[in-house]
Amino acid sequence: MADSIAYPIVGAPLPHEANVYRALRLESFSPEGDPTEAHFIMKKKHRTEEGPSHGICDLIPREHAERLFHPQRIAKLNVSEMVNPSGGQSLSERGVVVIPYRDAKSDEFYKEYAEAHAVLTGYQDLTNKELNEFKRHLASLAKKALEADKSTTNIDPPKT
Amino acid sequence: MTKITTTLSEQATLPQPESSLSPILSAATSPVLFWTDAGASETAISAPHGAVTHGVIVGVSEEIQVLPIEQYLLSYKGFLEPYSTSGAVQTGQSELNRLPGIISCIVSTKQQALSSRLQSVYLRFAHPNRLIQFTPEPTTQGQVEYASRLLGKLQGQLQQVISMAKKSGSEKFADFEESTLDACQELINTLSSYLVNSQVKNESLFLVPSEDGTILFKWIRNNKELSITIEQNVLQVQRWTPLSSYQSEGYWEITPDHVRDHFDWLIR
Repeated sequence: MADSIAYPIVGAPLPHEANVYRALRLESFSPEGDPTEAHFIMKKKHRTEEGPSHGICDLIPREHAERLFHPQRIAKLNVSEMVNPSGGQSLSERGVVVIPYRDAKSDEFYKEYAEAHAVLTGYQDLTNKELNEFKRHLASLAKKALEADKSTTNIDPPKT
Repeated sequence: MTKITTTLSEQATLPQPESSLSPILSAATSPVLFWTDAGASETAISAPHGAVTHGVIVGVSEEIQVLPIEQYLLSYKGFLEPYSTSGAVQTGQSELNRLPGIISCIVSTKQQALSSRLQSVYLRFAHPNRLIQFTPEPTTQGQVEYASRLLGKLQGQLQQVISMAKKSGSEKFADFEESTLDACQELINTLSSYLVNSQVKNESLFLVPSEDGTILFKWIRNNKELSITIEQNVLQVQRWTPLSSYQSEGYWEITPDHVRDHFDWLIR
């Protein structure tokens, strides 16, 4: 794209109350239809732009995110729940954050919603054990998000 | 049924499972020590007690343990914790020298016969005056059928991974290295062999591919979860109990031939 930026723009970490969309590949769901750790690729050697990609909910309509990632499913995750797992050590204190991130590649994909792109990063210093625990936690959050979506869509529309 | 006397180099010629133990017992000219990889095996229990004169080897990991047959029978009948090794004798060299002249290793499949644990038995017990026999273990037909069905299911999931690896275009997954696929196949084979020798059925387990070229294996049972990420020839193993906990019990990097200990943990 002619107007896309050629250098990364990295924003301040998203506030904990923010929500983000995460696209989930169909091939990595369990046979029961649940998200798995395989939906969250995190390696210690990752550069920032290689972190799991997310869409900032306030900056991209859900319908557009669904079209953008089709046929993948999307799960709406809360940043605070992502990085502050109950029963586990606060990962935000360890530097795990979700940050707005733009470069030519993400701009090309998100187009007019380029500012909605964010990545999860800061996990590179976690141990392998901690990384896998974090992935499992994210998969669990994604499962809850999909279940919540399902129950919402099953609610009858209000009678007028 | 043929009794097999073998060396490590000859193990590849082992036949498939058969259904009776009696030829071993009738052919035994000296005390017989049984070893099975399944712990509480019906094989040893169903053998005439007089034939099992020495005991049963119940563990082959860091240390070999020999459980006196009376203790083993109590364990099997539920008077002791399953797989309890209390009262077992850890074998040092002096104990090894007192072991009988024939050791019968009961195996369920050719794969199991080739496993490192059996090799471990051989290496530890082989002696110029001691015969090591590898003999197929009788198993219940239902358990064989279950393991076979599960094997087919997991093979199907692995085939899906392979076909994804070959898919072209932007949706293509990262390349799955041959070593990753081979390790996954070895895991499936080991699991299948393990299930034949166990009492477990209706298990919740699956394989899924990951975009980065790794394969995730997960087995959830009661309130325990075993998660294995396969990357090249390394299995990253992690265990959770209870399922609701965030932190895992530990993290291990192992080769596929060491995964049985983690299966043991899950079904305990």
